Amino acid sequence: MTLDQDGCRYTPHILAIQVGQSLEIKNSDGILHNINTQPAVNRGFNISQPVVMETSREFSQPEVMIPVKCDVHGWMEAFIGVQSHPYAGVSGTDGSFSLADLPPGEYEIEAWHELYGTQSQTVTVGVKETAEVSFTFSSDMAGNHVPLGEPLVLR
Amino acid sequence: MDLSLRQILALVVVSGISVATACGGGGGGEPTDDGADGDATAAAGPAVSPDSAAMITGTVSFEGAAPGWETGLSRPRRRR
Repeated sequence: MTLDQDGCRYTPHILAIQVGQSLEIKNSDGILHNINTQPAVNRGFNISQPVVMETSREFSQPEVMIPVKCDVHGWMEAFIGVQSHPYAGVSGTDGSFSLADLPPGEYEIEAWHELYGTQSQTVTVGVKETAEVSFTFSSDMAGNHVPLGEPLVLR
Repeated sequence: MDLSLRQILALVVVSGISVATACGGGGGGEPTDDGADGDATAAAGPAVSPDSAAMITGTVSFEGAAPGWETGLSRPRRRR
């Protein structure tokens, strides 16, 4: 899993990672960036990358979400969702997502967005079945309770 | 990634599992999930037999702009 700083932006903007999984933090820009994580549960870090380089870090506790900022470039922001299991992912640019290789059962699925907050649904999937879940965020939901993490401050 | 696209990304996560089998079996492998861009499949070892593996798919959509949607997310323009 790589968090790249390319063109003074974090790529990807949102990423899902597991507890203990290595996060490679890369500076492709070759100019000074700092990676300032602000977790509530995990131990945070604030490291400087002045040149093209790569640094490894990992998180020890599940936490959604961990904001990441660059203090040198105030517009740079990313969010890291740390899970204790592999069943998480980020929606594509068309909004689609898939959670594969699940054991059959009943699941609570939560969708998190940095401005709209979180919503959840319960879904049941049987053996070799595919269930479909759709989330719709509306503007009046912004600022709602965010059960997966700390409530976000709207900009 | 276009700046406008980053605003529509959402994290989708299994937060509750009500069957014991969901946590059992497999595991132990090195997580290799890329965790981004619609691919939520992770490789942490076979948590479930391929013969019984299930899948959840879906979409995330938005109606109306949230406060702050229009501002604060773009890179500031340099003043001349």
